[in-house]
Amino acid sequence: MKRAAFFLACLLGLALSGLRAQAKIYVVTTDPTLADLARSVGGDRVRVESLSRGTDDPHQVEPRPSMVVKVSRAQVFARIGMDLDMWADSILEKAGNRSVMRGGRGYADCSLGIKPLEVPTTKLDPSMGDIHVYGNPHYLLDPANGIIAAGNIAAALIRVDPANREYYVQRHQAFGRDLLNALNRWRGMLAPYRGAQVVVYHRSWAYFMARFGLTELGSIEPKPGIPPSPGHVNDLVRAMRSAGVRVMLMENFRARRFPDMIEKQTGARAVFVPGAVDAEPGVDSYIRLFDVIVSRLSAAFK
Amino acid sequence: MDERRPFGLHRIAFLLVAALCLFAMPAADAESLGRLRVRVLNAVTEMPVTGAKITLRDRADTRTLITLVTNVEGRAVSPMLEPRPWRITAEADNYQSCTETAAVHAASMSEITIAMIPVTAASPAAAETRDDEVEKLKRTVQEQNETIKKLLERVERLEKEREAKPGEAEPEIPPVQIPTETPTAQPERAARATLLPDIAVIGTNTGRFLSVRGDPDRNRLQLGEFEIAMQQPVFTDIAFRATLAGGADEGFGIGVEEAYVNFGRVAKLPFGGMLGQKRASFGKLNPVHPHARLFADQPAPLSAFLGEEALLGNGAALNYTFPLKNLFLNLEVGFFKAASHGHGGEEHKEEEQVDGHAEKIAEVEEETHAEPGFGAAREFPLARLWMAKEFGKSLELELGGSFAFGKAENGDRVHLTGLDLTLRNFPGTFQRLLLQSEIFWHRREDRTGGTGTHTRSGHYALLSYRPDRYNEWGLRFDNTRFPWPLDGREQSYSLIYTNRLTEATLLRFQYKFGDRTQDYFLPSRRGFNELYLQFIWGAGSHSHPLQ
Repeated sequence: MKRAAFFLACLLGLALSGLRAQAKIYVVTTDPTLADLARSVGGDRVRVESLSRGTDDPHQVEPRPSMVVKVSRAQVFARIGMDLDMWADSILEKAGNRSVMRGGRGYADCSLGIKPLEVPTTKLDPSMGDIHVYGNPHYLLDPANGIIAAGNIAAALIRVDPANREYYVQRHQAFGRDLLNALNRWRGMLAPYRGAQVVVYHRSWAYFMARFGLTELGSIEPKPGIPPSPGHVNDLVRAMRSAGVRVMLMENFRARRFPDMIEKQTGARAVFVPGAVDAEPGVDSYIRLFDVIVSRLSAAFK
Repeated sequence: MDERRPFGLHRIAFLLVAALCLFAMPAADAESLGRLRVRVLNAVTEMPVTGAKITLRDRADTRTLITLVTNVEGRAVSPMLEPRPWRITAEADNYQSCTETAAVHAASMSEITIAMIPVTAASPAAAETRDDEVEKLKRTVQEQNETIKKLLERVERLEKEREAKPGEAEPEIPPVQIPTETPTAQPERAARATLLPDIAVIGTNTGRFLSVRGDPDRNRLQLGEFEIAMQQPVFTDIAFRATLAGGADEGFGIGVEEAYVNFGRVAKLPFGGMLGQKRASFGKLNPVHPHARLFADQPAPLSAFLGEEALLGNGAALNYTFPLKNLFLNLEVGFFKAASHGHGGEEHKEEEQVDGHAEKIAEVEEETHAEPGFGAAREFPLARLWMAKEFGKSLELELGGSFAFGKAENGDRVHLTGLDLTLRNFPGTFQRLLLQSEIFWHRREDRTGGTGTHTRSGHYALLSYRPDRYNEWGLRFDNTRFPWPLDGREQSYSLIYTNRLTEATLLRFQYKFGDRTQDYFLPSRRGFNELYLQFIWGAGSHSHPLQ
């Protein structure tokens, strides 16, 4: 009798644990940084997967059928928006999952509420390079914008799972507190270099620069997405020498050829940093991402 | 007995605690209070103002007024202050008094600079006569004008300095709150409100340098084709796509290549669907527009069994993705009417052929009522089963099977079967290794001539490697026959190099060599060489369905 009761209790436990596992909200994000934000606000009530890898350029992810499987089963779909992850549209279309389509309750465009920078005000054409009509989409590189993006994910979680509203609200609050504390620390680390001029590879650092009071002298790409040309690099080297630029900042997936060449000619240090969560080993959270970026940058300034 | 108690432990402890408190208090002050350093300058000359009286008023109104006097450097430092806003008033002889507000931060020295505007005494009472008074007033006005001028210059200079350091103005920190508004169907920040669909123009310039004579475009670099692509959501889950195409072969008459609506879901059923004309979902490559392919020409088996440009169908299709956890399995079933490639000006086609090749084509057509391609003259059903499996985050295998059948113009039954395989590996950022192959079997039952069933097949295989964002190398092998009753075979190898200038602009070189016997499209030749130069450009945004 006792053995039977024990067996039944085990079965019940397994069934309940299964129910608990099933009850987790399945969140699919286009980017691993958003995946970390979703984990931060969703805690143990969510299961999160990212469609792209941290080492991918978020502009250039190749949509694949296996991504359709994930999106078709997603309860929340979070994207960067501002046309950065347009590649996800064909996946959404094929998945046919109405609840995560644009306008669906599980759809989270994390750029809503962001104050966009570099919004084009003139007519655009392909000669300008990869210009985004809604402005520079790399807003996640300002840690303060992580609060807004996480808030958008939390809002979608609440729409899908209103019973756990308080849980998501509290986790978002806690995440915001942690992030702001960390932001003060990063500010302190970069405070001595406020106003310093920096060269970037691609114009993905505008939000980061604005947050930490750095100034962009120029970019190694002559225009967004256009490969560097010798003439442009020569002009840039002259400008860097004249302005006394000491640091170049870029994601670690950028080609090293031109930064190395410029480093030799100007003495400015090329700082390669992860541009997203999971972009290199150990960068496993949004806060850790900026820990690494800020520490490498401040070390380069010293 | 002495009633006095000895200097007991309680008392010692109390004294120790009291002493500790006394020591601790300044430390606590130092941690929780801050100081203010005030600097007073002449707003015009920017020289320090010595002896200015500084009055600090607590805005919380909890402390008495604190008075300081500036030293020879025009500076004064406050005692420890509570961290809150303070109102600072500076007063000095021959200057207008000035009040500013500054925040004191805990454990830090806040600084504020006060620029005092000098005044020139102009006492009418001191004037001995009315004329003197007028003169003095004029001088005062003149001096004040000069002061205003200098102040304006200083404002301008400070504004320029501020513009030169944009990084100094830090964006405000957003509040930690969750948005409450419901999601919208479209992004909120439309750059400009418009009802126009997304419109893109894509041009393909191709130069074909051929060792074999007979092609009218031989050794010419020209605009080969252009497309105008339009797309827009028309309802929740419903979007239309249209592609108008014009080709040099047909004198650039514009025709509709594709025009259809795509349903993410059909009503509340778990199906998606399409309605209209489109490149049929037969195999992997047929639905892909030429500008999105990885080579300059069309692989020979596609030309042989799906048509010179593509297999188009006008009709409807449903597709269903099986709800499997780790496997993508999609079934599409459609019913179409055979459609021709929409370029206008087809009447020019035969006139442009040279060297008697056109006559040969006409002869074959007349004798057999056949031409390369699927061969269904009217309606045809089509089905495609497509599966994909991800192995880790870097490797994906796709397999597909397609089937279509119909009736030829003369009543013969035609069947087309295709199998496709795609293996994609993404070893690093931008890097891709792609292996793609398709094989087609075409079967025709000769009902009019009674010669039985004839099966022909062909295949291609592509190996492509993209080492970085801008470059891609490819190797392709084609081997095909043509549908019965057309004779001929092509076997060729292609080396392909692509250089991407931007997302929508690329340069491509393709060198192709092989054997071609009794080709339908070009005169037969053993051992041919072809060089393709391709420049593809695009303007405007468009996207492709998942392939």
